[in-house]
Amino acid sequence: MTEIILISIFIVATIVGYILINNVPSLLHTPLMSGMNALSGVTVLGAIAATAGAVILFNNGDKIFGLIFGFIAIALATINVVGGFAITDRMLKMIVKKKDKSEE
Amino acid sequence: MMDFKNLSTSDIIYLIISAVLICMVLFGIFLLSRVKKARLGNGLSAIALLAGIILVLIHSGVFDFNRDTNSLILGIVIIFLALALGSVIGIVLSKKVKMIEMPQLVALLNGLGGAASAIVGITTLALAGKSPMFSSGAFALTTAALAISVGMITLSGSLIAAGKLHRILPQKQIVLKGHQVLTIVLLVLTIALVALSGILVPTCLMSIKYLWILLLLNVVVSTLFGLVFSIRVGGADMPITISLLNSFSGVAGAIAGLALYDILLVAIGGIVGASGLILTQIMCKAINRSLIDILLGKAKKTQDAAPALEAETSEEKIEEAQTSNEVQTSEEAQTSNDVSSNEVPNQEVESQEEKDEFAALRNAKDVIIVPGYGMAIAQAQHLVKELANYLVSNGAKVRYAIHPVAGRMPGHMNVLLCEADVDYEDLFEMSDIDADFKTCDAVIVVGANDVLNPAANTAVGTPIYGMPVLSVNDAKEIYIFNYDTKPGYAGVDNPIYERKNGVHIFLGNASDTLQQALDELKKN
Repeated sequence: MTEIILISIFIVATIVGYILINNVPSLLHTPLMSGMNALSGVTVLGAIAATAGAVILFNNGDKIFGLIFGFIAIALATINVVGGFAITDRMLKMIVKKKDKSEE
Repeated sequence: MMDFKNLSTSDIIYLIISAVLICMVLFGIFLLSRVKKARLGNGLSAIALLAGIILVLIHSGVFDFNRDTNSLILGIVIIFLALALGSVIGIVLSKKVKMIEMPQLVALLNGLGGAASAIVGITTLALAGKSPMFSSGAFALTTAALAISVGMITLSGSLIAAGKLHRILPQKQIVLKGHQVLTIVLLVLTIALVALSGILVPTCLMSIKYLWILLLLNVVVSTLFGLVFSIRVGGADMPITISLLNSFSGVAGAIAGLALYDILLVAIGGIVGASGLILTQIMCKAINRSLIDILLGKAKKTQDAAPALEAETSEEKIEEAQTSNEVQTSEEAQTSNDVSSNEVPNQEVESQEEKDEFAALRNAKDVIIVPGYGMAIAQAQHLVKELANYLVSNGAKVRYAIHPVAGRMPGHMNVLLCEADVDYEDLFEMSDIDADFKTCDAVIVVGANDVLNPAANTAVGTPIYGMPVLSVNDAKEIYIFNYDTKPGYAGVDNPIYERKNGVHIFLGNASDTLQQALDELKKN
């Protein structure tokens, strides 16, 4: 049951995302891509949850692999998230600022 | 692991907040479709993700002070150290990167996202069954294995793509012996390993202790698959590959979310997957090829197509020369009243060319600039803007025609031109400006070839046949600033170079040739 709900959420999110993203003008396709890129770093949430679980296991005598992997996963995903959003903002600032100038 | 039949209060709160955050991300994307609100949309998505991180930190018990102190401190130290390290690297990257390097950076970040998802999958598999959080059910095992596969494919594929874009690796497609067979074998192996990971343990055919063997094999095979499929992608197919990898990185995250039973991951991963899919579709349509053909490396120059092409083009060239002459004469008749300079018959233009080939540009009132990847390589976007400024000061209207696959990633040209201070309202999509080539006074081509090759309409059997191209050939006066007149990536000769009238070709690095042209224009 839980699995079916999860897969339904995946499908619905994909469809809604598809509809919304279709409206993004081609002018913004590079920022869209890097913004989505940043969002794909959402896996950082999974990495944190998994690491939190691994810490408890390690403390109960399990091997250290879980911790090392968790650390790497969080770091990589964070680069993805932070770098992605910062670059997207930089690009959008660059594209949109012209508008303000011409309006003045 | 969260069981929806048996939810605790904290689970319900977690789900509700997750749903709110998903809506925030969707609204952020909605804002991204309005240019002026786009920055706000991006910020909103970023805040949603930050809130998601805090939510997960709390929900997964990182700050659970009832736990024993050792594991509490260890958890906080490891997680925050990793978050801090990633943030610093991310910020440095985003500050340092030049706009021209954007495609390879996006590719690299895609790869990191994929890697992170793969590692989450590895952790989930490695710890499966050891605590309630890591389910050892068939669903969790299969999805964790799948997250590893998709994540590793994304990682290795992205690294190759980034290497090609950064010119560390050769730009050309590399085809191995039996490439197609190898691709298919690796794909089948990957699928088989994912299926085995999900089947063997729950059916007690294999002890969970040996799951790591499948895990390792999976990592190796899917990495190889990513390598094999991306080394065959050549330069101009890069926009499609990057879009596809973008989609993969999202899907990998969503699948890792399935393995961990986390709806936030599943939903946002799905949204990213959809975005990448849309861009991939747009790119494929823009070069008139199916995704499958590109992935399998089909529809490239073949021996059979080559002779046919020659025959076709020579015939078509004559036809085209005729039609373009027709267009020109009719255009002249129309515009002769408005613009006196255009009354000069073509023959005269030719003989005058040596004296002042820029006459048409100097007197032009309506100019369209067509940028391509060559402009990006030559870093000529600032000179293009300078040239445009000159033309505008001369009373001309200057617009830019952007072909969907110009450059190496979707929207590449737009970003470069905006960097050079071009107003985004002057940038036009192909469908919005294509009809105006007929009526404009002059077209300036900077480092673009395949996207304006009229052979795409006529040369049946060539790689670019049927690809929608900009109707530059309809224009009266064409100024071409390209590196050479060799066929572009598609390997098809461009008949515009052969056109007798109204074509001015300046070969070399666009930065140099544009500068010379600008000096020449400003002289008089």
